[in-house]
Amino acid sequence: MSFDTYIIIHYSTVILCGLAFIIVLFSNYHIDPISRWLVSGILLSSFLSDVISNILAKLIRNSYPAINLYHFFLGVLIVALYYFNDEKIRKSYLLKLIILTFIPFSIYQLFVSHGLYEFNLETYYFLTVFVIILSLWHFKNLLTNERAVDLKKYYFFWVNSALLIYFGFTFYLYLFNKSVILFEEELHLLVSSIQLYTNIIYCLIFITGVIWTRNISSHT
Amino acid sequence: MDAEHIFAYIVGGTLAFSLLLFVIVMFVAINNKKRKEERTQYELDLRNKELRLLKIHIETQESERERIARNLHDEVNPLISSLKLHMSKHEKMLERNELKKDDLVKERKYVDDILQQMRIVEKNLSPRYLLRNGLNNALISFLLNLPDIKTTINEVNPEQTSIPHELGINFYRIFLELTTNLLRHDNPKTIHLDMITSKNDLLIKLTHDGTGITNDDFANMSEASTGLGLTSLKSRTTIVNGSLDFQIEPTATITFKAPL
Repeated sequence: MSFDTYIIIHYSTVILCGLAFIIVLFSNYHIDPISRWLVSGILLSSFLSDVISNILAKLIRNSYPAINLYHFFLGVLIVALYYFNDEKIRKSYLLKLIILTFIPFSIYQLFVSHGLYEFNLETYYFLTVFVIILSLWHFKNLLTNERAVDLKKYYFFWVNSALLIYFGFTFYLYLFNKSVILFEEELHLLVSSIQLYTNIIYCLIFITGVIWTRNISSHT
Repeated sequence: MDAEHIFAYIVGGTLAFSLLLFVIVMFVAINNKKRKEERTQYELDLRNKELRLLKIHIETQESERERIARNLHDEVNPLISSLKLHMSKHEKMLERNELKKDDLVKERKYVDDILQQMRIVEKNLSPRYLLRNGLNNALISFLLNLPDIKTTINEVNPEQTSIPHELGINFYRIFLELTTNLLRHDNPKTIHLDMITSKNDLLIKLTHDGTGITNDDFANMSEASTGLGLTSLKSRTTIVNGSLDFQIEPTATITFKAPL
């Protein structure tokens, strides 16, 4: 893969993230206000991290400060999202454990262990693992609830699916190629572009969810 | 990293992505199946509820027909038979020129009794007063005309809500049944009626100084009873989606509440 192709994919992802952010923020269909703000926050932080990491890469040839900070805020926003959308998760000890361990751990990684200028891979692993667990747990909770959920009116299903696909897949990408991704330039580019494709799918799911629920609401 | 590793990596990635998609698709499939089952169950429950209501409706009609038939059989038939006997006797007396004016008084008394019984039957068939004056006035009129009972009434209807005719008839019959049972079994000397009509519901509360019953007593009586009164009372309460509450403390009360 050439670097130019990578740049095109990268800009497409940035534009799509911005677009998804605007669509989610200004949609009012079957999305409760807290979830709307949190999902918008996730998309905005994704958009800003892409833009800022691009700028940093040009200025100081190191985009990791933006990416590391993005992962930290993303973790906080996702925890908040599950906290407000799933009562069983909210009452669980696991969520409290995640909050109590993720924040200190990622702050330690950011400022003590690896620092801002080095990729905090352990923080990213931590983030992906707990997002996958929360996402699967949410699906399980929906299935074990007394009443089945109407997916046509339940926007959080789309959010949960998007998070599961994105974090599940990127977890795989990073898990088996830790050393290669960081040190082999060509493969690093390939894996990054695959991650960007996943990011595009992730944004598209958010947008589809909004459009889908909007269509349903306009029919009823 | 050699080509073999890259190939394995790509295959693994494809499998990972497929697995994630599979999880979501499975979730959607199971959830949809559950929803379908819920919908089927809901429709079944709805149909059962309709059938139950229809059954109650038919039972109520049957029990009322039976009551009217019993009324005619027990009250009107003997009177007519007696009247017939008297008329035959008077016919013979007339032939013998023995009939006096006073002999006809008994016949007139029988005719009066028959008429009174017919009025009761007619009242059961079609509560005209209710049709003409509305539920509130019909209940008040009924209560004020009770012999040897001191009655007080508190009527509250701030929004001047009118009760639909169909509901009104059911409420009227429920009230009649409650009052009849009260007079028959509890021996009250005073009855106070609270009738509160709001936009959404109707509350009728009878407070009395009779013996009274509790909810448990009412449940036991309903189970043990084979009479028409309690069956009709229960059926009508179910039809109007109402509730009955019987208390004996601090004072004996019967409360009927139903949505409008």
